Amino acid sequence: MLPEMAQQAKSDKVRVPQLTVATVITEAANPVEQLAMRGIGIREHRVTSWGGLLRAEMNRRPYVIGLWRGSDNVFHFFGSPPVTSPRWKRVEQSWISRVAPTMSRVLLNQDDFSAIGDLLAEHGSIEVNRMTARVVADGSSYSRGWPEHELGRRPSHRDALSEIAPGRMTIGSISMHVGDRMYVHLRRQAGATLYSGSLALFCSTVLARLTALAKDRLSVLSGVSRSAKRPILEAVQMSFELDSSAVKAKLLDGLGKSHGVRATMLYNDSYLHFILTDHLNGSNFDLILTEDYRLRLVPGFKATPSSMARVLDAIGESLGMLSLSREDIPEFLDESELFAS
Amino acid sequence: MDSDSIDELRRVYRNYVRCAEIIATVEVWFTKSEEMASTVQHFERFPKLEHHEKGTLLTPDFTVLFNDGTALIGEVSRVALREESVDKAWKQLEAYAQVSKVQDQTGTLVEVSAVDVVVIVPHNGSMRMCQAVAERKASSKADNLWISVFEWSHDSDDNTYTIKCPPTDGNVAPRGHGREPSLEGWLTQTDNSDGLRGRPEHFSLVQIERRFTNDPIPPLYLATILWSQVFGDISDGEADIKIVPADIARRVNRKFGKVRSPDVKSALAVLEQARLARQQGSEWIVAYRELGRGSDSFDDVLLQRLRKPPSGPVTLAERKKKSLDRKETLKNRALQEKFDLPDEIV
Repeated sequence: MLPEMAQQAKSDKVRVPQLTVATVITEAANPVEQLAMRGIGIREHRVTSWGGLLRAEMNRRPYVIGLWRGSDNVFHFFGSPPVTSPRWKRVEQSWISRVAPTMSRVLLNQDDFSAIGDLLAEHGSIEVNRMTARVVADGSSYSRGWPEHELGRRPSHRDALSEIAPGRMTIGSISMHVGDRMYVHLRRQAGATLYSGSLALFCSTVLARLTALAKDRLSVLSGVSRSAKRPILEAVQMSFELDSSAVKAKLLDGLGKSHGVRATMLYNDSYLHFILTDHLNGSNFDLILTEDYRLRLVPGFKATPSSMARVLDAIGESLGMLSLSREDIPEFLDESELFAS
Repeated sequence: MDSDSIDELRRVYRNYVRCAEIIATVEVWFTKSEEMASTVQHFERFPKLEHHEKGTLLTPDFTVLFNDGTALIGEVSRVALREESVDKAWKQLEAYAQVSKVQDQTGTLVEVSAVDVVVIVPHNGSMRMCQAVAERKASSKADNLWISVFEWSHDSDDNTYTIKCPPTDGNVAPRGHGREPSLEGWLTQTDNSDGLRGRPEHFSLVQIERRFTNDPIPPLYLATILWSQVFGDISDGEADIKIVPADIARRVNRKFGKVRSPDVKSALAVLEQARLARQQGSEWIVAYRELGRGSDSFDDVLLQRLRKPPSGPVTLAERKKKSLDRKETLKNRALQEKFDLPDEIV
């Protein structure tokens, strides 16, 4: 729909204002009805073949937010309010949490930022003018700005990202020019803004990539099921760089920022083993730390992908997650694993 | 609850976990190593055996039924035994060594041609155990008793267990009966003098698959499992859940490992002490909800509530009623006019 809109706008000679986008994964095939029921300030809604439209009001001033299906169970909120405006913040903070846990955000990691930058670089030379990041250990912020000047190019995305120590810092956002074709903002909580430039290019590069990343995340988290009769053969693993001694505190800190999830620690003087419970829908997971820098998440008998996504994002943010992947657990071990020498 | 009682609850929980991890380690040996697993017909985590003479119930920590019709029966001890307890332990081991049937995968007791017993004790008690076993075996009326002593130690840096078979006082490994591989083979291989290993990355998965052992379950442990995993299955969101202990025991048995009704009742009693549940006749009402803040873990919250049980209503229905009553009282108070008594009543 959005790509068609780009063409239509061009032929109608309508200038497209800036476009703000936020990507979500959902359990419902079309979450528009649910949003309309639970979202604050939504006055009218329309379900369409590609998603839907929501007309909302804030301080008596109306505005419209769209929801576009990127792929099965992957949607993008889109609209013209800037990401910092209260009208957009309500979408990201209030609306999404009111339909939790059936809808959740997706977190981009540093590799994802690099990959999107690489893709955009095929269409124009990349110049970064702003970047924000956070230090994992103490939560302090890191902000860089490169003004335009005649003496040389601003850094490329790879140059800028090289300042972020993976694992010890987490990238927050990047604003970059793509030649003279686009000026975009890319955010860690999967989202982006097209400040100016080609909407068609934005859709075919940034949006397409955000859709693909969300789809990937969904496939890592889906179909990881537990059955009472079988041994555990699948898990999700998260890698990070934080020292094991700091993990417990950071984990609880991260959960403190998510809504409705609680941890229970088992075994006080043994390896770190938590059960996480999503009180919004009863989903639960085991979270184990048996090796440095790697957490294993084993879903319980009731564990929805979007619950898992919510929980992992909260923890991932706090631990400075490097990557998330599916882990196949071998049925048998090598004998040498069982001997002490 | 006074701090001694709380300390006791925690001590029982800690001891149980050590034993559970060692049993899980043994389960890994017999079920996760492909070659060893090929010699095993069934590994039983919740054995129910019969005393060969009295017919009474014996519940060791694990049994292994091998494809060759022999069996291994095992018991794990967390605490180095004091002199008084050694006799009791011996009687148990002697009884295990004379058992004639162990369970197969259907739970049926099947005849076995030979039984080897292993008792796994902390390394600082293994010498005494080896001595005690050697002495009592010599003076026992029964012959053909094959009882081995293993010692375990725990490395708190990487949470790994090391298990060895000490050669003290003629102690020997369980017989392999010609099986290849066998525990006897593994332990006598010259490059395995350092013993066998239990690594958390392996036994943690077994712990998830089977959360309990054959011993009575520490109430604090079962209370946390019920709250974090089982109740969420029954209800999503805040709710007063009506619980019948036998039903919960059945539900837990299906998915998490064997529990008995008395275990569930003890766990519910702990939740009641923490004012999270109330008994009503033969049923219980559990006020299931998120507690504390996101950064509080439930185990901490539970201990805090046991140390200082909060006052006020327990169930969500009672809390709601109290809140409505209070609102009504305030409303009534506001509606009433000032009551002025005259100075003099004529």
